[in-house]
Amino acid sequence: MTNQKEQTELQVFKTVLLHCIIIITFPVISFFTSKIFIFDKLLGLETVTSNVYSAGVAIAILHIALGAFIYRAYFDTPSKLQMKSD
Amino acid sequence: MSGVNEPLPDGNPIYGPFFGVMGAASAIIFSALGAAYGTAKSGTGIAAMSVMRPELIMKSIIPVVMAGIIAIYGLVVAVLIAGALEDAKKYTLYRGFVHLGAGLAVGFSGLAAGFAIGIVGDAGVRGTAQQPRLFVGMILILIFAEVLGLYGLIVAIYLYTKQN
Repeated sequence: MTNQKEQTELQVFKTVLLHCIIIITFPVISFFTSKIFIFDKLLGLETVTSNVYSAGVAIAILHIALGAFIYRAYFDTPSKLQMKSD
Repeated sequence: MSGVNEPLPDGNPIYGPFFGVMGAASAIIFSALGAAYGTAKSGTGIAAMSVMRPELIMKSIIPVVMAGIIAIYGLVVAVLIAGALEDAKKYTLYRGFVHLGAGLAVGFSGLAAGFAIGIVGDAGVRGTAQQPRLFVGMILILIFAEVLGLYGLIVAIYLYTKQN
């Protein structure tokens, strides 16, 4: 019982940590990769335009990651209601 | 500084970049202030609630994550403005004003959104522990609070694209 409980706790920690890393790093990575590789090199846009577009890409990625976390939190948590007995 | 003796062109005063620097700084300062308040306020709610309902921690982390996203809005605008800063010779006063406006727009919107997220997160998390059906309502209210920061980001990026 205690072992299983600890395992689920570890599971929850892993899930939360994974999503936090995704939410923090993915927008930063997508900002610079989309700016350098797509908007600057591939499309050859001006500095301001490519900055704005890559900021938009980063914000979109950020909200997708946030939506994934909310989805996970909503559907992975056991919904059975523990009745308090006193 | 090189070329001190050369006169600066009209519209490019020496203090022009000051406004741009202040814009970049205020973007991240005020956003981080709001995010910190939101994290701390909803964190107290989570800490109080988790004593009795530790299985709800995963659900109740959401306000903290949303408060962190407010700071990312400020970071994006601060990086954009900092990337556009230049020497006073090439940096008009107009651009300095526009950058200051962009920084203040996202900064104060983030401050307001962070306050809202903190208060809603605190009360919402405590309430969700007693009535799980409140969760959907809490998420909706949090999204509406988060969108306030997003409006500031949109205005800031729109201002940033203004050039002369």
